[in-house]
Amino acid sequence: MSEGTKEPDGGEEKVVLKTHDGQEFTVDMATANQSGTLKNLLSEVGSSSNNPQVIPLPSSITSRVLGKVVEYCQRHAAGGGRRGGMQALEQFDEELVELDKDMLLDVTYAAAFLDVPRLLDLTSQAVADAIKNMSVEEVRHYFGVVSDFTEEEEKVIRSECPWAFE
Amino acid sequence: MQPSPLLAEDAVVDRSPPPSHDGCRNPDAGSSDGTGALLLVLGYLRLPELLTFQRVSRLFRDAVAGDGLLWRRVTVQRPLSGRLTDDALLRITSRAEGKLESLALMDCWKITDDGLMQVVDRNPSITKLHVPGCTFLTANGIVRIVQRLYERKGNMKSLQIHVYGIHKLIISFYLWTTLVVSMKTVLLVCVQTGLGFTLVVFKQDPVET
Repeated sequence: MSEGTKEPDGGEEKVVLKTHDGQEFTVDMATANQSGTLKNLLSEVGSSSNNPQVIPLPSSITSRVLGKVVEYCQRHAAGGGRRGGMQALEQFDEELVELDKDMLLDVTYAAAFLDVPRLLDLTSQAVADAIKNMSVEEVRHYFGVVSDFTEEEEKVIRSECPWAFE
Repeated sequence: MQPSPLLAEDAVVDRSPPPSHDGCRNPDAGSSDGTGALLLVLGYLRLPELLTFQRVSRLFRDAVAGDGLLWRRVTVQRPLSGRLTDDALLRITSRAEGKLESLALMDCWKITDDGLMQVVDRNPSITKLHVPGCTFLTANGIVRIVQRLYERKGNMKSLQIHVYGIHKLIISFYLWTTLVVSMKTVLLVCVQTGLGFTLVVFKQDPVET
């Protein structure tokens, strides 16, 4: 995250990602191109170091969430060739998704929005792992939802696959 | 510049396992209650969690029920294995609406030849059938199933079964030859496991016929 906010150096192309809460992340093109969404967008509008393109992001992607995504994209833009090869990269991925529940869900969402497939894969798997073996009530709590079934619906649901809930 | 219009449709494609989102997400939803991520993770859930999701809320139930893709690869493991009856298996696999691709039943010892045959009959496009530890299944039953798939122009690529003891190995010689014929190009590997032998059959080359 800190690297993303550095001043542009040299004549390299840069792009500024602006979150709804007003924070700006200046990243190089290799980092931005990790996101299919930004890549598409920038291929149309272009960007330069003197006059970098500013891309506003929706409110669901807070600066904290974007920081994570940028961290991932920067690391993967550098690839496995640096900082200890693929093994280090895998470890980086593993540690990146060690997040609290809300962050994990938000980063998942941001990864989908920005189209960073491998990050989405990582976070989605992390969510799936987190809810493994949870009860219905625990899943409700995890996603912050309440049951809105009618009594009738509840009855139908309980009659489905009762063997799985013994 | 507003990036949102171009995002909703093609934000996530080209990844596996098959995702379940089809442009019905709202880019500005999701952060507050976590349900925005719901549709994204569905494709990563195992059977027990999918079944649990159906009981969570209407949104969750509809998301799971409305996505046939989620049910095309079914794996039943412990602790559900021992509770899975023929009837329950039929109900679960019916959600694939005849398009079941992969069925892995680990130690589902209540499943019978007839039960499995019913599933296969309704899902002729099964390409992977793994039934290790399904002790109620017989070698002859498996042969019948593979033959049935062959007759129905199926394209079975991977089959795993357990073969117990010498007696069963003799039967399995018949099984092997039948499989070779039925699956055309096959690679047979016999793996010894703690429980006996696992016969692993791969179709080497998915050549269109």
